[in-house]
Amino acid sequence: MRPILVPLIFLFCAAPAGAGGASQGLRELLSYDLEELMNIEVVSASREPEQARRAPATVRVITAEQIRERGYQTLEEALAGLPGFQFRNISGFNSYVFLRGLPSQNNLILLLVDGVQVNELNSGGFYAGAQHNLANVKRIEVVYGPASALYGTNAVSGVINLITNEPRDLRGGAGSALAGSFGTRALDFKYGRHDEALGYGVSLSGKLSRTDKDSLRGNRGDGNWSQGMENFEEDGSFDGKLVYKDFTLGLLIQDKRSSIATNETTAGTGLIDFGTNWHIRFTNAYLKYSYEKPAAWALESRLYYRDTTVLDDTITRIYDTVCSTCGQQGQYRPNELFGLETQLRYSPAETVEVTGGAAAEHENLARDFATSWSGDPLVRPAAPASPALASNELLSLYAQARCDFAPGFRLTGGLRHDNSSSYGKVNTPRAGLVYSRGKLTLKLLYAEAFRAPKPWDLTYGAGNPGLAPEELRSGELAGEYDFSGNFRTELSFYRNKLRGLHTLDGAANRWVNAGSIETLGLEARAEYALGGLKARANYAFQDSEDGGGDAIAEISRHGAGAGLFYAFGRQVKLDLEGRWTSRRKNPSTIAATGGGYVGAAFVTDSTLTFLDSDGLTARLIGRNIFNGRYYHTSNRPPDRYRQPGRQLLLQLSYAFGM
Amino acid sequence: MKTACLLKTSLRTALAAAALLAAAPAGAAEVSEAEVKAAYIYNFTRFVEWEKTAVSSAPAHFDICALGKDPVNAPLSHLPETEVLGLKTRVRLLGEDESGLASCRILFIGRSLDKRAPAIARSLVGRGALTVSSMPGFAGAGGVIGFSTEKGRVKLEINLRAAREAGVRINYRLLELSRVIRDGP
Repeated sequence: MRPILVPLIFLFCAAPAGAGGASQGLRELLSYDLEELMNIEVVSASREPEQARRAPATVRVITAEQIRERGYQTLEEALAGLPGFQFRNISGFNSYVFLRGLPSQNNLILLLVDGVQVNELNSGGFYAGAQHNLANVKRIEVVYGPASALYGTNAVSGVINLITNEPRDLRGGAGSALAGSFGTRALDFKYGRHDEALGYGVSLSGKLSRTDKDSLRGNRGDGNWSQGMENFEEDGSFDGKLVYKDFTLGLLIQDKRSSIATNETTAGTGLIDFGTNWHIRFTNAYLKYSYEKPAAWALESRLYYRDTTVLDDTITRIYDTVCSTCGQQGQYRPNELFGLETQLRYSPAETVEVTGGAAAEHENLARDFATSWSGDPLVRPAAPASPALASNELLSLYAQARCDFAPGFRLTGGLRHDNSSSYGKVNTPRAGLVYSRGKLTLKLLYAEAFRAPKPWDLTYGAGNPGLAPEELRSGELAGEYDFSGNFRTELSFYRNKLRGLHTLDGAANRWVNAGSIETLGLEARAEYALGGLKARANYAFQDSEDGGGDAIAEISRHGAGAGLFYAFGRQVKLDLEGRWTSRRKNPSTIAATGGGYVGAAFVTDSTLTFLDSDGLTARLIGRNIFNGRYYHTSNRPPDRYRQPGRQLLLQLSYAFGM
Repeated sequence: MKTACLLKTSLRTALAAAALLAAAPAGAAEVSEAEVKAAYIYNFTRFVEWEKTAVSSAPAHFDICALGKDPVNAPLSHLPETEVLGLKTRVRLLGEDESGLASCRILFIGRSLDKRAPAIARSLVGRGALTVSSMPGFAGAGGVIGFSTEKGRVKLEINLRAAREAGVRINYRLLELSRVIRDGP
């Protein structure tokens, strides 16, 4: 852009957006009575950085109310109701989430809790599952599309931010107990209080859960596992916030233990499929300082520590043989990161806002798993010794400017520069033109993103110091229309191209950049609410092809969902949701069927709230209530994964002071 | 790629439709949170009674004051004149100057003074001032009326004890539609 145009644009932006005097809106409001004022839906002069409607991205939000009404217990359940999401649930130690036609090991989506990443530091992937305490989540914000211009590496398909309650949101406490199918049981609690006069607040929440999952023994698991197979998951989480005036001290600990038997076929291999224990712990701690001078500037600075460690009591395999490298295999992989990020938002004029930020990180990552062997399948191994660590530094600078240059029009541009000691320098831009006025919102968006290689990818085998990050470019046209206060619709078209895929060159014995995935997609969504009735529907189409024009495996071309919620009265409420995905190409031939696809699937979930009085709530939650038999794809042995049958859960909750 | 061609055609059609829709009248004006709050403050003059003993002697106007910076100040300054207790209303934007609060019958404390809002409210006890703020928990901290936003709608919290101490009486219609805090912290 030529320099002369920049100040001209800012002149346009700095001009007042509207005439003086009482607006038409205010004149109308003054004629309303109190009841009418109470029902007006406002465009908020928000305390939060940006409304989803005017953000230069497609943002979809799952609220706490929706989490409760729909009985969501895990992150995947919440995401499954949004268009564009598909899953590879291996019914084991993790579940893989695909967004907008890109399959991955969860390393193309950033998962944040209160703005701090919880992706595993070594692989870059995040863990789905029950360790996320959704009972304390205020809302889940999903930013679709590339977001590396704000977040750096791995924000390729999108960003998921779990925003938890602040102390002032709680003003009391709540707890719940849940039990049901597959030996599932869980307890959770949350409590918070805030003293406005003294300026301090505290919030605490926690969850414990355990499930034995649906059986995959024998024929139910296509004969991949024995009749003695064990497949459990135990999760614990704790999060706390201490707020004092402009400071917040936050702590999040998530602990997951699970069987890892479904990670591979054990039948006929000499591997034992009970007694394994994948034990991983995530710890995030941060100290945040936030200051806002209204209508002027805002500063936020955060010092953070992240730890994602596969703990030393992990048992990843058990060989049914006695020898020095047999028996139980113990593994240990510690990783930690220290970081400091500061962001300044400044409004030189009412219609202009500039955001600038800098982040510095230092990480210590295990070069590989440390391993120990017990030598005997009946004996636990000694804890492995600490593995060799690799240290990396990252310095990032980012800036974004937005300008309301005409009534309803907003132009946003941003750039991030990352300078890493392991993968070098990367620049990632983004731009968005948003028109939002009255009932219509239109967005024209462009963004880029990248996924950086880890240090050992560069030195693997023969080594490839020139291994570059995978890069994505995306263009999107999105629109939203409010037909009335009760009915709104959304439509998005996008085109993504991911290139330079990290591919293992077997002949050269090293990682190389090769291959690409091009995705053309459409997402549609509609929501209707009237009185006690709420209805929702969504549809997603994604056509993902590799560089040769062949369809990418593990991605359905079509997905749709619809849901109905009805409040019969204050006490009884019913939510019913159905989801359909078309068939998916599998990476390998499925031995059980002889075919190369997992079939289409239709699944129905339901949640019935049958008591909601004086803080006491009772819910009956049903998953796959018609007990449909369906499978997810697999990119390793076994060929495919059978999904859980019907599951019924009873949840009792009590809230006080809220 | 037949489906891709169909998608591209649909995209062109959507672009054309969007251009048409964008050219169409915007429909009902967007309503800002600040304007709704200003409208509420205007309504307080109708649904709140000031005890005559609490009003300072021989005022020339019924002052509606805004202290500190806040987006509400702009629509507040455009409120039409009305009459309360036989006095014409007057809107005063005081900036950060806390010295001129004596004549204020309604005092809106803006976001820039959020941290001091409860202390300012407590300093006006017994002086006939209806204190209002958007600070979270303002009513619980001793203010009379607090604004909050729930599901995109502006709601009210009213502290009855603070109202009593301020020398104002809240009409039952306003109480019915608000969250009432019967005792302060």
